[in-house]
Amino acid sequence: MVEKKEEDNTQKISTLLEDLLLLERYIKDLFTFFPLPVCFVSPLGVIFEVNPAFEKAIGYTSYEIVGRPIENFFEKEKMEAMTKEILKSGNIEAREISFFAKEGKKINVSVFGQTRKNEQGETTGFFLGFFDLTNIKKTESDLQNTQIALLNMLEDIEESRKRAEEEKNKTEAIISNFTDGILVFNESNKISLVNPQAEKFFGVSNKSMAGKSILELSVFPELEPIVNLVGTEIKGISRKELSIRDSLILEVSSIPILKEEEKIGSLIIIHDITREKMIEKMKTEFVSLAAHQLRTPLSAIKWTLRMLLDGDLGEITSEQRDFIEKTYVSNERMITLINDLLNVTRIEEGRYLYKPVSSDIAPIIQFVINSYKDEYARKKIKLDFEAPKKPLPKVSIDVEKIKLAIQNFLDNALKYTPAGGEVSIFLKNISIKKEIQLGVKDNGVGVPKNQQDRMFNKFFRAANVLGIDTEGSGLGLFITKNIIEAHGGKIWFESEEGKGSTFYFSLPAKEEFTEFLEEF
Amino acid sequence: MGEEINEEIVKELMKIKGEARGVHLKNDGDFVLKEKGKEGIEKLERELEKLGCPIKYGEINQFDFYPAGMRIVSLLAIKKTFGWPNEKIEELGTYAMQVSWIIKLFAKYFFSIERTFKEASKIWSKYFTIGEIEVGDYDLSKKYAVLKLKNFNLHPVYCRCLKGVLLGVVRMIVKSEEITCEETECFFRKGNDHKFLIKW
Amino acid sequence: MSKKILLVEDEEILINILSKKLTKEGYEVAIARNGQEGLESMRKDKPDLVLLDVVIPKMSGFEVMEEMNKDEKLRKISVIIVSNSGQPVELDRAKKLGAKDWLIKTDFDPQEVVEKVRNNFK
Repeated sequence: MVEKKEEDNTQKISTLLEDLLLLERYIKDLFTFFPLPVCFVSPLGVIFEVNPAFEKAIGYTSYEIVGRPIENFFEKEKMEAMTKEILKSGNIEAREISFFAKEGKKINVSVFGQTRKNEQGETTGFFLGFFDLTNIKKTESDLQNTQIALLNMLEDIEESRKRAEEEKNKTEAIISNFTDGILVFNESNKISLVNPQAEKFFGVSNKSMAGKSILELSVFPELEPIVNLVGTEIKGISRKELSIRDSLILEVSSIPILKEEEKIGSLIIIHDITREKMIEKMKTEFVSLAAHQLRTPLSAIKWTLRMLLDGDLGEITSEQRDFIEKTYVSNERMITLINDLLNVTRIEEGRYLYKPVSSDIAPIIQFVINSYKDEYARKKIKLDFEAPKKPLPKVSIDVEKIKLAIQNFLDNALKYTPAGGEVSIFLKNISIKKEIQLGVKDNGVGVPKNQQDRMFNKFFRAANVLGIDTEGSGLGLFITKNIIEAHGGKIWFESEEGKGSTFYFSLPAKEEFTEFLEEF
Repeated sequence: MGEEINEEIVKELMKIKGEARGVHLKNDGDFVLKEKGKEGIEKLERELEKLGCPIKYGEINQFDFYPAGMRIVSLLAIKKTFGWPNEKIEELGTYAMQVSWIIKLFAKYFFSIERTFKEASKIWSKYFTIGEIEVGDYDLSKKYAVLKLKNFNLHPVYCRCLKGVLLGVVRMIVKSEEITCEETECFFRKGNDHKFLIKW
Repeated sequence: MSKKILLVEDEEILINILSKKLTKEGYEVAIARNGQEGLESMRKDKPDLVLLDVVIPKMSGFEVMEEMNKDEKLRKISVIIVSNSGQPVELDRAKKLGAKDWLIKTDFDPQEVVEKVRNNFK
C-alpha cells in the first residue's frame, strides 16, 4: 500500500517537474523573443534579470548587468527619481531618459515600468522596458525641418502670390483706366475681357459680352459695325476706321496675341480718333478757306501784271518788262499751287467730284500731247506716242480730270528729263484684265530706291530733284493718284536713279456702250 | 579531504545523503559553457564519464532533485578538467546567483536585507534538502552580517562555492561597490559550522 | 457808236482792270457794284452786254439773271458771267439761265476777257 502511494507520489512529482520545465522553457522563450529591452529590477534598484534585447541594446552581457544597480546604465538622478515613482505609483509610461550603452554611447529612450507584488501585496520589484527613440527623434527632427522648410516655402509662395496679385491689380487698373477700348479674345475666339472704355463706346455691358464669340456678338446691334469690320476671326494685324454715330469716329486695330509663334488670343484696340478727324477736317477747311482767300489777291496781281505787260498802262522799258515778266511767272506758280491745294482739300473733303462719261481715251491723250509739243521741242526732248493699232474699248471717265492726270505724267517727264532726252508714251489694251494701260517712259534722273515708297504722298518731293526743280509743289502725283483710283484704276511706276522712270496708270475698260451722268 | 577526484571518491560522494536542486548543476554547465564553450562541456562530460559519473549538463532538469554529492563531483571535475583555482569556483558561485531561476522566482525576498535574512532558511530549503542557514549577527548601519551554515559538511570545495553564492546574493540586496564575504569559521578547518562574514 | 458794257462786279481791282482794258478797246463801260444796282442800271440805260459776277452783294448774279428773264426788256441782253470757281454746277446753272459765255475769275487774264467780249459782238 505504502509502495503504491510512493509510486503515485513519484509519478506526481515527475509530472510536476515536467510541467515546471515546460513552463520555464516557455517563459524563457518568450523573454528571449521579446524584441524590446526588458529587465526586472529589485526594489533596491538592483537589476535581477535582463532579456537578450536588453543585452543587445546596452551592449553588455547579462553577467555584466545582473546584480548591478539600474542607475549605472541610465542618467543617475533621473533614474533614481523614476525608480521612486514606479515603486510609489505602481507604473510609469513613456518617460524619456537617456541611457549609456557600452563605450559611452548615449541613446534616447522612452521608459515603461510596472511593479510586481507578492501575495502579501508587498512590492517585490518592477519590470522596466524601453524603446529606442533615436529614430523617432530623428524623424521628429526631420519633420520639424521639413515643417520649417514648408513654412518658408509657403511664405515665399505667399509673397509671390501677393506680388502676382499686385501685378494683376496694377494691370487691371491700367486696363480699366485705359482711355482706349480693349476687347480681348481667348484662343477659342470668345471674349475674355472688355474694359470700361469699350463698354462706353458701344453702350454694351461687359457682362453681356463675356464669353461670346464674334459671331455671337453680332446680336447686339450696337456692335454690328465692329463685327463686320473685324470679321469672324482675327488673323493678321489690321487697322480700320469706323464711324459710330455722327460724333464718334473710331480707329479699330485688331492684333493676334502670339506666344512663341502660337496664337493664344486676339486683341482689339479701339481708339477714339474723333478729335483727330475733326482737327484734320478743320485743317482742310482752313487750307480751303485760306486758298480761297488767297486766290483773289493773286488773281488781281495777275491781271495787273498782265495789263502792264500788254502795255495797257503805258509804255514800259525792257528792263521793266524783264522784272514784270519774272513776277508774273512767279505769281502764276503761286496760283497753280493754290489751285492744287484747293484740289487736294476737295479730294479730302470728298468734294472732288467726277462726271464720268464713256469716252475714247486715245484722242484725249493725243490732245494733251499736242499741248505739250512746244515745250518739249524747246527743251529738245523727243516725244513719242505709240498709238494702238486696233481701236480700244471705251472707258468711263471724267475727261477733265483724266486730262489732268495725263498732264501730270507729261509734266514730270518733261521736268525731270535733261535736254536731249527721250520720252515715249504707249497705250495698251490688256484684254485679260479688262484694262487699258498708259505708260510714260523717260530716260531722265529717275527716283532713288529709298524715296520710291513716298512718291504719291502729299507734298513729297524726292531728294534728288530738289536741285533741278525748286518749284514743284509735291502735290501732282497725289492728285493724279486720287483721280486714277477714283476711276477704279491703278497707278504705279518703275524707276532707276540715273536711268529714268516709267509711270503707268490703268483704267477699267467698258465693253458695252453706256453713258451716264452723275449729278451730285 | 583533498581536491582530488577519482572513481572511488566519486562513489563515496554519491553516497552522501541529501539532495540539491538541479539548478546548481545546470549553472555549472552554463558557467563552463560561458568560459570554455562547447568544447569545454564536451571535455568535462568526457572526464565525468571516466570518473564513472556521467553527467549530461544539457539534460539536467533544474527543478528536479539530484544527489547532493553529484554537485561536488561536478565541481571537482570542473576544477580538474580546467585546472581552475578556488577563486574561479567562487566566481562560479556568484555567477550562479546571478543567472539562477531561483533568484527570479524568489526575487520577492530580495527586496530588503531584513527580509532576505529572515527568509534565508526558507530560501535554503528550496535549494537543499540538507543543512540550515541562520542569520547571526548583523548590523545594517555598520554594514555587516554573519551567516551560519549548519549541517552542511560535504566538501571544502562547496564552501568556496557558497562564498561566491552569498556574495552574489548580497549584491542583489545591497547597493555597494565593495561587498566582501569571508568564511570566518569552517568545519573543515576545525570549526563547528561554517560562518560567513559579509561586509558591504 | 461804241458798244455799251455793263460791268456788275464788287471787287475794286477787277473793276479797275476790266474797265481800263475795255475802255482801251473802245467800249463804253458802266459799273454796278451789286445786283440791285445792276438791274437799275440796265433798266435806265440798256447795255449791249453785261459782264455779271456771280458772287455779288444784295442779289446774286443768278438772281439778277432770273430777274432779267422775267423782264421783257432785259431778256434779250447778252450776259457773260464771271464765275468764281469754275465749278460745273455754276456753269451749268448759268447756261440754263441763258448766259452766253463765261469767265473763270481765277483762270482768266484780262486779254481773255477782251476776246470773249469781241466774240460776243461778232
